[in-house]
Amino acid sequence: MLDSVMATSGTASTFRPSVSASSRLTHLRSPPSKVPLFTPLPSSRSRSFSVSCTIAKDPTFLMAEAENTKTAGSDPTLWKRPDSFGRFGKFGGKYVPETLMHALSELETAFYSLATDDDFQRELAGILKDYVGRESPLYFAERLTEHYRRENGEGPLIYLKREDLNHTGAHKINNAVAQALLAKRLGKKRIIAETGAGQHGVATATVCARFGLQCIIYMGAQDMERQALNVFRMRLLGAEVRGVHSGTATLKDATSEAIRDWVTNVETTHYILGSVAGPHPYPMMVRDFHAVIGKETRRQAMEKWGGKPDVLVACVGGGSNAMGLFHEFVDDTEVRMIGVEAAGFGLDSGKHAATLTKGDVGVLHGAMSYLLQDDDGQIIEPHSISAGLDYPGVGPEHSFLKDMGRAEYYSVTDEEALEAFKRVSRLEGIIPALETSHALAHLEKLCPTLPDGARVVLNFSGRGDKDVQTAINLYYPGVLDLSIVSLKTWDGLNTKEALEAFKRVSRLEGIIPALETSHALAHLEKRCPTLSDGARVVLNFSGRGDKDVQTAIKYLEKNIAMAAGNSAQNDLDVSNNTPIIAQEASIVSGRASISESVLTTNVRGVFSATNPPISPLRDMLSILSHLLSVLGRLLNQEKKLQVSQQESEDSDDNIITDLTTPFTDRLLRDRPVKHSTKVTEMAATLHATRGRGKRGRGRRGGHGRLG
Amino acid sequence: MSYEGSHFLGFRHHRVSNVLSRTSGPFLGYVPARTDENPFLRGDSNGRFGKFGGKFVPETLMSCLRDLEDEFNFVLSDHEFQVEFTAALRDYVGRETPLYFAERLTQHYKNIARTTGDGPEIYLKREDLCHGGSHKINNALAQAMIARRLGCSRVVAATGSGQHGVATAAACAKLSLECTVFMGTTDIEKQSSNVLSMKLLGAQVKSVQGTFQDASSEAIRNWVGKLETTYYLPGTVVGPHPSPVMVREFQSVIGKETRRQAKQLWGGKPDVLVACVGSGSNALGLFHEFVRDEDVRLVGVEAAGLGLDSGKHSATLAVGDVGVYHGSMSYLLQDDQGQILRPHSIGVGLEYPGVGPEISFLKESGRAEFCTATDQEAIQACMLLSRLEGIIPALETSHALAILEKLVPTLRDGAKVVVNCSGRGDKDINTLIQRGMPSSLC
Repeated sequence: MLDSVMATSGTASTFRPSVSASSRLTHLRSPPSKVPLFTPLPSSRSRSFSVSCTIAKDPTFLMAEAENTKTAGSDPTLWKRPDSFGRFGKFGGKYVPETLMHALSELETAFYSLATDDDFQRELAGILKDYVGRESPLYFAERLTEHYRRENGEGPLIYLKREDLNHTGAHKINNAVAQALLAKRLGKKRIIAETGAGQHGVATATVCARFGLQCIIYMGAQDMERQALNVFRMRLLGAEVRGVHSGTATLKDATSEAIRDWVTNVETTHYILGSVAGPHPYPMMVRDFHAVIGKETRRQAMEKWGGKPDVLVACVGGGSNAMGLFHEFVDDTEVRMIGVEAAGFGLDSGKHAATLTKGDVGVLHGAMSYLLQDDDGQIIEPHSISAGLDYPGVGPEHSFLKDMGRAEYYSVTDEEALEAFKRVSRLEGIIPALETSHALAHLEKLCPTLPDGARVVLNFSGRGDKDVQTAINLYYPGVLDLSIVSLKTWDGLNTKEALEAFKRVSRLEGIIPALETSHALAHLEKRCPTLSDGARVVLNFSGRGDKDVQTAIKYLEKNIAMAAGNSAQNDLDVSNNTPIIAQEASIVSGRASISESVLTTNVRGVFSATNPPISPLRDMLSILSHLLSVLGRLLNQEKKLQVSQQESEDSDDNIITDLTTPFTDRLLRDRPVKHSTKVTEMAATLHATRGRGKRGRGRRGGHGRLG
Repeated sequence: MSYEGSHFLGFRHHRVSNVLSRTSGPFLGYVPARTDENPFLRGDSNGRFGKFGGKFVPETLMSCLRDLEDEFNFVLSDHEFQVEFTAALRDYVGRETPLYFAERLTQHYKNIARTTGDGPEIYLKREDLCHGGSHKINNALAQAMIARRLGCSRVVAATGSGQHGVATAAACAKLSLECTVFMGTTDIEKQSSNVLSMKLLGAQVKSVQGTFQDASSEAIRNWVGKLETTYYLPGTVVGPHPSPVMVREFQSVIGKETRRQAKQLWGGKPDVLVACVGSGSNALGLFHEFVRDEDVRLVGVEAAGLGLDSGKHSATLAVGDVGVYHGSMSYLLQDDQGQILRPHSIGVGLEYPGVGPEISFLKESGRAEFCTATDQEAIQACMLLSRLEGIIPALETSHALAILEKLVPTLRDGAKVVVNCSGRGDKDINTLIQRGMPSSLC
């Protein structure tokens, strides 16, 4: 009956949360752009609904049943999402302990009633505008578009939805603010949340500070150590951070602990979930709070080019930012929607987070969805370079969209994401979060396939300030060396180290170790330099390597080929990135040119009347002391060089390096000339040596990292 | 120079020209938009604000500065530039930034600073939401666009806290200009995250022994060596004319937005404006629009470091004398021999021994008030805002917030205070940790 009322009145929209009790089927809807934030429905209806939710039925049966009812046709994309059971097709649901059912029902009721509450809507809109800083721009990425333009001058136009400009630097705050406001309305003064890398924790702590709510964040003890800065940030914002020591002391244990807390204090406590995962009504609620992204995009697109976007691209971990952008456009079938997952080290490596590509259907954190699981149904630990995508599940609605074929999902490896991270930083002056970099990386594959003038909107979900350190520490061992040289070689590094050890021990000792054993042997390379003289090391030589010879040969051949490929690549990149590769060297030359300008033009004295003039003597002294340090570095460099040469002899991988590469050439050119010949020579040698060292390592496919 | 200022008909931009003929000519220093306004609003034709400002530079630079001045005056009224700039501010920087009513901070001061339960309302101008995390990008972007118009392929800049460096690097990446940023070694240590960001954005970071003042000197020196291809991008309202005027003009969007937003929010003007003053770009950006509104109080807050008596501070206006530094006359921290003293502040961006000439003029003329806040007070204010509003302010901004403690009790009930929240504090987290925050935090 309820349904028929709604159908005839035509006020409710299909894809909004609605409380119609029985049917998952739908009726004609008003255009999305006219729909208010939440479906306006009389609150009496929602109250009648509060305890009727059950998931006891078999989902496939429900689906069949739904298809049999022909009132709205059998097109699944027209189904209401979610239905009254919190189901998206077969996905979603409320797989939770009984104690939580009441809290979830209460939440759902509150959510529906607040959808019609003008005060709430006005307050939320005010905070989104003044506190979060919405609306976020839809920015035409001119240079990125230029980058993807094909030779004939055609190509897609790329727009970025700048969620990185939000307060706290990501889209997360949209949902956190709304949920905190909801908790306040529910009269709950205590907020709990779990966090892995700390981003969700910081967003939660932020809104709790804003609304004066007590905030407790659960975090794995191991994560706390790794993310000390974010822990500090949360504490600065007045949150209590509780370390969780049980289990592996990471995110999933923190989640369990948080849920335990919630069960205990459910009367006073609201649990802020950060993604479109978890039991109903969270996926729906979080989605609707993020839907503002898509709504703004529609309006801005209309303003900018008077139409709709052709392609939407977003990264998918749990899927909140993608859902926020997609939701508005789900019914516009001509808009392509593309989600990008993290493929980590590669889909075949087993170390990835590509749930939709590689996962199977199962139940995790209270909802049915695609999951990364083994044959026993146990969760596989996911991997991604970005903490935000490092989640073994995915939002149930994404699973649904994938199965329906409405959205496409692809995956991008860590390496590709890092490339995009660098590329976009340099081209647009915007540092993306590593999560966002995955979406950006997919443009490489996507753009060549798009017609000329197609408009791509990419959800620029977060800023990368938090990731700068990570990217550099993990994958650029030279700390300041942001070149691509080392980037190419990190993948599968352990295998290479092991193979090196395999070769080394075979040659030195005449014993062929098993590849397993080689890993232990490879570790000696790092460990031995740290041991005291005469320390006795016992290594378990666990197996012989006859079985592995074939494998090893195959890999080594491939590596040599790869190394050759890399060095070609390096030459290119080196010439582009000279200033950064040669950071130290350029500081040297910078200093030198500064001294030079003082000596020759004496600008300093003229320029500022009150600046203390520097005597030529002092200047000479500084040059001298500098020379000493240069000498020191030079010696070090040579030592390293010898080592690396020795290594290359070991591995039959000698490469004759031309000293005047584009890299050294440029340095020599930039180097100041009016110095004493000695300085010049010194600098030249230094540069050349540095160049040789780097290149040597680069060509050898990362062996330099062993030392 | 690929760009010729065509509106100066036949008046080509020669690198070497007669100074006198240029300075006395009708076009020079002629400002199209606002000639009728008093010197409060704009330096005179020689870039003077009263006795402050000017162009104390070597002759070699004069032609360059004049080109810049011409170009600047031109773009102010150039429709094409304005359209491009406005679009970039909206879509790239994310303007306009909100004028946010700090509800809980207001409540805090009502209850604590005054026992009567009434008090002023505090609003924050949220410049921390700008791309790059501070107000610096407003100016960096505009000037990078000017650099491109002038045909320069390379930009040099000096940065203290790294905010200006990041803003410049971002703007240069966007406009595909080569970028070199000079930074003091001690600042590089304190602000390592900003250094990495700059490098990631493709800028070359050169370290200079010392702090921001040394970095500025080196950057200018570097510029002088390669005038033809290089543009020096000043981040703040100091230096020889026209740089103070130019930076102020591009930052004044802050004040303009504030006026409009105030009109919308409560239908009037703010009663008090508060901003921190290092060399003064964010303060002037907010103040400039309101200088002629005599009923608006302008309050600038300087860094008192470890205390005014300790000798370790950056309170130029409070204890400095008039002198010439970095090409203009202004208040400076100097010893009896006129040598520059080394400033200190926990907010790296405030560590500058001088101050903008226009700020000096505002002080001299009594239009604005200036007071100081110590390192300790700034840290307290930073914590207070974090806990009450969930906004972690930069330590520079925290100085402005710290003064509320003293200011609020003196204000009438319902007075509207606008504080320029000039930057976000993510860059300062390490500093805070090292400074040994109260044990409850760690």
